[in-house]
Amino acid sequence: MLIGDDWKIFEAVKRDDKGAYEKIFRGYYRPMTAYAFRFLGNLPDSESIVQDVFLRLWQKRREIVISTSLQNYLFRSVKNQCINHIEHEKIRSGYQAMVIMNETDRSDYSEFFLEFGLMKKIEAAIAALPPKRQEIFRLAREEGLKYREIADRLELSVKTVETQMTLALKQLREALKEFKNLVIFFIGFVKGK
Amino acid sequence: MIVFSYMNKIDFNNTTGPEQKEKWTAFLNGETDISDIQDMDAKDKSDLTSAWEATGTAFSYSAADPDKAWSTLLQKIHKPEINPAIRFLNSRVLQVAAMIVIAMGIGFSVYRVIWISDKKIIQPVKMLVTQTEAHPLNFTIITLTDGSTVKMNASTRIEYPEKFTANVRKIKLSGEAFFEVTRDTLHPFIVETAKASVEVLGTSFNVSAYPMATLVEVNVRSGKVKLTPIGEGKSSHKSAVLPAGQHGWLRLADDNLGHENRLAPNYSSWITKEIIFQRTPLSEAFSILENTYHVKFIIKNPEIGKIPYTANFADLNLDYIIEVIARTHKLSVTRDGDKIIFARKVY
Repeated sequence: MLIGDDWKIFEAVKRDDKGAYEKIFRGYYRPMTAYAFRFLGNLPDSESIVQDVFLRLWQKRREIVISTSLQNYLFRSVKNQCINHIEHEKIRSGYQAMVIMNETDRSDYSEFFLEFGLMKKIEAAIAALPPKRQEIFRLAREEGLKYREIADRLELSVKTVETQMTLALKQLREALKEFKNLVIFFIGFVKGK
Repeated sequence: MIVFSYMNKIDFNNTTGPEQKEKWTAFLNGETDISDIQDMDAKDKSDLTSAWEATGTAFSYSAADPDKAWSTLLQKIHKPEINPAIRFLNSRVLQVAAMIVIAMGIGFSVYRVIWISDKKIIQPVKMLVTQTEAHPLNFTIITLTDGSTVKMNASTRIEYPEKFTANVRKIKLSGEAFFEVTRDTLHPFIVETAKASVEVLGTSFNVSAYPMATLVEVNVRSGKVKLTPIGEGKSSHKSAVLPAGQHGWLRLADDNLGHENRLAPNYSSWITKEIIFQRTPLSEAFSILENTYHVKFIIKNPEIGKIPYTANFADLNLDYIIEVIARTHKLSVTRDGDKIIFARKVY
């Protein structure tokens, strides 16, 4: 689906068309979750924020006025919810502060519509890390654990975790070098089953 | 903002030491504050940052579970509906009748009696209802409280308790669904349709029981399934036990139970979108396509329905399939809304 058609499909949702609503959901769920993850680094929280945004989209469908595009509206809602969530938690890392700053004026969300081939390449690059390094990296990146927690869990020193994390990121960047910018292109809706 | 500085800093000599890289990595992981890092090469920073962000995007994108989220969302949207039969029992007079029913052990799956001071209150287990549309873009998946899943085809309705509390796990079905039942030998799982009941312990199987159909059909992928006709005046001693790999059916006209030692071809095409036709008469091929793509086929000249058709389709769009069929047999095809009309070509 093209962004230009966004408003049409949302018009259908306004007329209680649940099929159109599901189409939006199926097309945007993963990219929106990936966007929330950029802020939160935590999958359950990211999924629950996207869930809330979609629930609200249905409940308030008659009141919502979309001025730019549906895509913009949805991603901005995710962003606002994430910022609220971060403020509510009261612990904000320097990195989160940077992400929030960087996201103030984003208008291109294409990198979150992950192309299948690139996704597989990134997964393969992680899988190619040496086992221990990979385990450390996954705990940090996928489970959102802090160095101290990883060190305790794997009975390692924090220093080792630090070193392995840096080596992991360098190795990953090397493996993905051919992807300039690591930006991914919008390929439209996931093929309807 | 200081946080942007790494983007713009021009680097003349790539001299970032491992220490700075470690600090930046730690920063990405939320360990340290930005102010700790100085004199770091901008390209190194952005390289590490993009590797960090891309891996996070790839992970969250692929680990996100839209099917599960969609079924949760649907439950939040459809306010839980209470079974009309239960609503009807809210009348004070009928509560007594309900007590008798419970005493007879019939209402076991629906009612729970709790005592509050001297007053008996019947608290129904909430029944949830999910109804799919006639032309869905995708099938719907529901996860039940025991972990069993139900994939629902178009125009299908299921009714199930919010929580399984009774001795049997019972759900009602009208339409078609594929079940993957969590094994629990103490609590048989029963799918009840208008005319049949299908009972299992733990297995995966497909039940097709659309209201207008002449058959109730069951295809058993794993485990063992018991198919029993139900309804007024039916004796319950008649039933068929179907092992894995069998296709069983109940013919509604005469309550005849039948089976064959293979799965019906294409019984799960509505889920997989994989279709195999092997000298399949076109009329039958069309009904499989109807069930898979939720459209209606119309045959203008009756002899078209008898043409045997052979082809394999895997996850293709319907337009393509129609085009291939029409070309192969030199038929003309027109579309009218969700109707697809096949006719002999007129020269």
